[in-house]
Amino acid sequence: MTFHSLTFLVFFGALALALWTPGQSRALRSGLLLGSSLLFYASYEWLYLPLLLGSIGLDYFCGARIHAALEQGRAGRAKRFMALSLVGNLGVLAGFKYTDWIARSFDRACAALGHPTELAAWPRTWLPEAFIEGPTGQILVPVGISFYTFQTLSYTIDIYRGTLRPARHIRDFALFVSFFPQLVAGPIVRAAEFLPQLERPFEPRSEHLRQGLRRFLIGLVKKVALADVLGAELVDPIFADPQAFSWGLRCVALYGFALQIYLDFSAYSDIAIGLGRVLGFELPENFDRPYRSTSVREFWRRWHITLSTWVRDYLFISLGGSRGGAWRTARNLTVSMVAIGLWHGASLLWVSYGLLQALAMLVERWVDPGGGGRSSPLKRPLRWLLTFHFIVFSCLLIRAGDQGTLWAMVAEPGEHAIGRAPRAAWLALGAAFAAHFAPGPWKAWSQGFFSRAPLVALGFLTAWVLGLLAFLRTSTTDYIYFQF
Amino acid sequence: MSTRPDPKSPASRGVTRTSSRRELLTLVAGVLIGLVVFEWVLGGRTGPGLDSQGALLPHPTLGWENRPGFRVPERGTQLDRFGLRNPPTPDPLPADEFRVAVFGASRVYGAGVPRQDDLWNYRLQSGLAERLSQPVRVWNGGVNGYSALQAARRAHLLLSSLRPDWLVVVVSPRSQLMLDGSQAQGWKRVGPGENELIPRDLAARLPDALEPFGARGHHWLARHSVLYRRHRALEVVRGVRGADYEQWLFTGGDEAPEVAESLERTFAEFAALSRACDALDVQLRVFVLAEIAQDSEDGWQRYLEEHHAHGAPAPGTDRRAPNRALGAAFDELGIRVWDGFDLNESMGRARERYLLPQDYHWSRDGHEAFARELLARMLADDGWTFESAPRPGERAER
Repeated sequence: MTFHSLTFLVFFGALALALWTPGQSRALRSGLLLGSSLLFYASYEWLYLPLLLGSIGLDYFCGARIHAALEQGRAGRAKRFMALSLVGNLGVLAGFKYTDWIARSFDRACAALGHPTELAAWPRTWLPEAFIEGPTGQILVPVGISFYTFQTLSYTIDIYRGTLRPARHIRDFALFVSFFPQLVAGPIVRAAEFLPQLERPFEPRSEHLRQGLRRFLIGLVKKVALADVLGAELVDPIFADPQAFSWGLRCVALYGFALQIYLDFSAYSDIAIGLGRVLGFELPENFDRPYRSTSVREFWRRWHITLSTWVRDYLFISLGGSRGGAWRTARNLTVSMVAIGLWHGASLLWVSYGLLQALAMLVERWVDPGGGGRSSPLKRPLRWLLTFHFIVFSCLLIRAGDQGTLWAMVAEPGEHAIGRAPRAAWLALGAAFAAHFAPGPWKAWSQGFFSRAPLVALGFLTAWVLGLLAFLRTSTTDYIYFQF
Repeated sequence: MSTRPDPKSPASRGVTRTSSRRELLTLVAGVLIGLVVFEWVLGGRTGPGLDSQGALLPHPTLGWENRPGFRVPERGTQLDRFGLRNPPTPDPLPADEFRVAVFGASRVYGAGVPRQDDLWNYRLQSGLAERLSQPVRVWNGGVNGYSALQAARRAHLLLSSLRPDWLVVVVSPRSQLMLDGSQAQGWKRVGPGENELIPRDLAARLPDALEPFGARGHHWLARHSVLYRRHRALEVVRGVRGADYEQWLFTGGDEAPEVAESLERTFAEFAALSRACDALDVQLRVFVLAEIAQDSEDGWQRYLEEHHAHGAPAPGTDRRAPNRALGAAFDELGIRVWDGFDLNESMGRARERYLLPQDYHWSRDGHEAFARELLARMLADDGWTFESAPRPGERAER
C-alpha cells in the first residue's frame, strides 16, 4: 500500500474521519493509530510483522530495565541491557541486510582460491519464501527495517544516557516505532520528539488539515509528476543499457538521477509530515533543498537530516567527535560516513560512496578549516558548482548498483548510440531544477494560500491534482528509499 | 455580564472538535465536487471512452465484445445480431452468398468515422459485388481495444455461425495487438442466476455477498468515469504491457518470460483458428498492418531513438523488420499472410488525407484505401474462387 495508491487514500480518509470524531479517549486514539499502522505494515508482507513486533518488545523491555537499573544505581546492569538492545537490533538488521553480501563475498573468495563453498545458499534452506527474492535467491530486506531499527535504538540509548524516560505504556512505544506515515522510509523520529505528543490531547485544527494537505500534495506532485517521470523516461532506460546511449545523454541521466532520488525521497518525507500533521503529529523535517549546498558538509546537513543527525549524535559523538586531534576526527568522520553508506546498502559501491563523502569532507576541512566563513562573490558560485557536481557524479555509485553497470556507464557508446531523450524527460528535468532552486518566498506564499483559501476550494484543488496525477502515472513504482 | 467558556472544559473541546470535523467534511465535499468537474472536463476533452455509449458488453472469454443489435441512429452506427458493424445479418443466412469476415481492433471497427457506410466493409462489399454474379456479404468484426488474441478468438467463436468463405484477421506489430492485456477469460459470473460479470481481480478483493454490487459499480464506473478507466487500464496491463512495453513492436527477438508467454498464447489462438478454418474449408489470411511510425524512414528512425527506452526496437532496425517478423511467425503456423507495409507507407505520404486529425485511425479515404487493398489481395491470391464453396448442409438448399 504505497502513499500514491487509491487503496491508501481510502484507508487514510477513513482513518482521518474516525480520528476526527469527537469524544475519543487517548487510549482509543492511540489504539486506533497503532492498529492502522500495523495493518499498513502488514499490507507489504505480513511475515515482516513479527520482526517489527519483536523489535518493539525487545526495546520496550530493555528501555524499562535500563531505566530501573539506573534508578537503582546499577550501571553494570544498565550496560548489559543496553548491550542486549544493541546486539538484538543490529543483529537482526545485519542478518537481513549484510548476511547475503558477506556470504557471497566469502563464496567468491573461496572459489578464487580453488575451494568453492555455497555459504550464500544456506539461508535459503531455512528462511520462509517471503524473505527470499525469487529470481536472484537473495535475502530480502524487510521494508523499513533500517528506519525502525534506528528509531528503537535511539530510544534505549537516550534512556541509557539519562536524557529520556521510558514510555508509560507499551502501546505508546509500539505506536512510536510503527507510526505508519514514517514507518517504511522515515523521517527517523526520536522518542523524545514523538512520545510527548501522545501525552497532549488531540485537538484537530483547521490549520493541521490545511498545512498537512499542502505537504501531502507537494509530495505527490514531486513523486508522481517529477521523480517517476524522470525515472521512467530518462534514468531507468539509460542505466538499463548504457552503451545504447551517447555520453551526453548518460551525463543528463546522472543529473536526472540526482534529482530523482532527491524528489522521490523528499516526496516521501513531505507526505509523511503532511499525513502526520493531519493526524495531529509534528514529524521532523528531513530535507532542506540539499543541492543548494556550497560544501559537502553542508550537503549532509541538508540531506536526510534525521539520519545524519542520528549518526552524528549516536556514532560520531560517541567515538569522540571532533575532539582529540585531526587524525582522530578524520577517523571518526570516515567511520560515520561509511556507516551511512552501509546503512543504505550492502555492497562495495556503498562503502566506496561513504568513503568518497568522508574524503571530500576531510579535504574541505583541510582547505577551509573555518567551514564556509566569508567568501568572495565569485567563490560561492564556484563552491556550489563543485559541490553540486561532486554530489551528482558520486550518485553514479548509488544508481549503478553493481560494477558491471558502473563500467558500462563509462564505456564507449555502441553503434547507433541514441543522443535524444523524450520531451517528457526534459520537461521533468527542467521542472525539477526549477522547483529545487525556486526562490524562498514561494514556500511562504503556498503556506499562506493554504491557510486562507476556503476549504472547499482546497478540496477542489486536491481533486484536480489527484486527477491529473492519475493520468500522468505510467506505472506503479515504490519509493526508492523503501529498499534501504 | 457574559462569561467566556473555559477552553479546557469538555463542552468547549466538543465544540472545537465538531467544528473541525465539519471542516474535514467540507474538504471532502470539495474533493468530490472537484472530481465531478474533473470527470466532466476531461471526459469532454479526451472524448468518449471505449464504452461511453454502452456499445460493449463484458464477455466471459473475450473480455468484452460489441453489443449485438446496438444502434446510434444519429451517428449511423448499427451493429447486427452478432455485434458486427455492418447491415443486419438475416437469420438464417442466405445459402448462395459469397461471405467475407474480417476481424481486428479499432481500425477495422472504424473508430472515429462518423458515417457507417464510409467504412471499408461497405466499399469492399460493393467492389466484390461488381465482380461476382452471386450476392456478397462482408462482415466487419472489429472491436475497439482488441488484441490479436481477442480478434482471433472472436473469429473462432463466430466461425460456425457465419461460415464465411474468407476469413481475415487484421493484426499489427505493436503491443496492444500482440501482448494481450485484456480481461479475456478474466471474468467471473456472479449474482442470482449468475447473470452478472465481474473482473476476476476485482472479485478476489470482495466478499462473495458484495460481488454483484461490485459488478454493477464496475460497469457503471467503466462507462462514466475517465479516472476509473485510467485506473483499471493501469491495473489490468501491469506486468503485461507496463511502461517498458508502451512502444514495443514485435520483431521476433528474444523476449522477457512474461512477454514470451503472452506471445505464445496469441499464436496458439491463431493455430486453433487455423485448424478450425481448415476443417470448414475457410480461407484464412492474416493481414499484417504496419504502425504509423513505420510510414516514413525519418519518422521511423526518430521513433526508434526516442522510444527505444520504452520497448521500441533498437536504433538501426530495418523499417520492414516488424512486419517481416510477424509474417514469418504466422508462416510457421501455416497461416498465409498479406503484408500491409506498402499500404501504410502510401497512406503516410498523405496522412492528413488518410488519417483522422489528431488520431491514427483511418479517415473515410483511409477506409477506401484499405478496402481497395483487401480486394486487390483477394483477387491476386491463389486461394481465390469466384464461387463460394458449398457448405455442408447447405448444398441441398442451393
